[in-house]
Amino acid sequence: MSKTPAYDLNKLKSTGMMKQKQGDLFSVRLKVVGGHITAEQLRALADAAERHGVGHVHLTTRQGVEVPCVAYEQIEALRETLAGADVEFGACGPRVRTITACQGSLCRYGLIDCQQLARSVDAHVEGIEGLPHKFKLAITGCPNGCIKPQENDLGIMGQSYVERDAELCLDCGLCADACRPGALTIEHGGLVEDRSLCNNCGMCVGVCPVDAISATGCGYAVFVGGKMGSEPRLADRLPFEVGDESILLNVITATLRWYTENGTEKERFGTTIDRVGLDNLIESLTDEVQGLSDV
Amino acid sequence: MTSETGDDALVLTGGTCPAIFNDIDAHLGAVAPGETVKLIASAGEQVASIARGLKADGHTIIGTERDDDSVSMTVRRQSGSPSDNAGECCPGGSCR
Repeated sequence: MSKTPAYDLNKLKSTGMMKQKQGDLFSVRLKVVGGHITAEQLRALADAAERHGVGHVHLTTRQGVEVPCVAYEQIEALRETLAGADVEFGACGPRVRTITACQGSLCRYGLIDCQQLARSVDAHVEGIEGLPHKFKLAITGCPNGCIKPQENDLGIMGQSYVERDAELCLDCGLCADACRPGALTIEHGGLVEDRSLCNNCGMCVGVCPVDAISATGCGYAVFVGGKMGSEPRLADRLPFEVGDESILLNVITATLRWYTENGTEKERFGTTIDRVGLDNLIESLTDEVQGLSDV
Repeated sequence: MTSETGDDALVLTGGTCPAIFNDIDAHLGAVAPGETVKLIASAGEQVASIARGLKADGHTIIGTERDDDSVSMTVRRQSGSPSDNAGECCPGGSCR
């Protein structure tokens, strides 16, 4: 048995290295933004797992990759092996964690480019320290919510804003067939709209045979305070429409600042919201971020 | 399971993805560009999914008739081969 080397566990954790039950072995978390890994990176991962681990990787629940069973002495060699394929170590501890995202613009339902946005948000939050606890962020392309934004500390959902030209409408009802929330219905042979039920999925645009319904633009809905684990909490939807990326990034910055100022050590964001009040957060965001419009 | 009725309508009610899209492609492929076919689908998600796929492929829904549980659509085939723009029920047609 080799002598246990001296190391700072917190420092290691901050860059993605988690000590295992087994002696001086670490599971090394890698940075994977939006679940996007190139073929070259996959080859490097396979090589790294064989050379510095035990020949396998672990896929995490949040689109991440970990290389388990890496001896402390192998960590720097692992870092060098992966650097050649532009793969970095990830983050643990009280930081913004891996940003998850669906395929967005590749999916026929996707309303926004989630992959581009994930990279943009990742760059925006890089280096932010001093959060009370971990902070998970997810980006989903449409209200189908495949990436589960409601289970994250901050979830972003693509939105499509639409308008209907009643003069062009044939009252065929295909949009009502496509409208899951029931915002569009056929009553007495005519189309009836209830905008309060619309979730901005844009499905009605895709089915209208005469283009009586058209998209006027895209934006983002923002969910806050979601978490799973031992005390699950679904996120609250903020009562704003966020119309462009720069405003969205400001919302993220202001949200993280509010959490840092109001959260206590080891307190998840949702718990802080429950303790301090969602209205307090909304008021803070309204004061701090220009360009928000009410839902 | 899909079937053709006496008036050459393709009945898609009860069918599942992706088979119904293959049937639609074949049905449209049997007529010349600019000609019409009739498709009958279940009201709700099925007809919405089919309408979305047809529109994405450039075909034109020129009429609909609705009864309690189904919708009959008259569809004009786009110019070009249907297989060039095969209706996709999944991203990239990956479920085919």
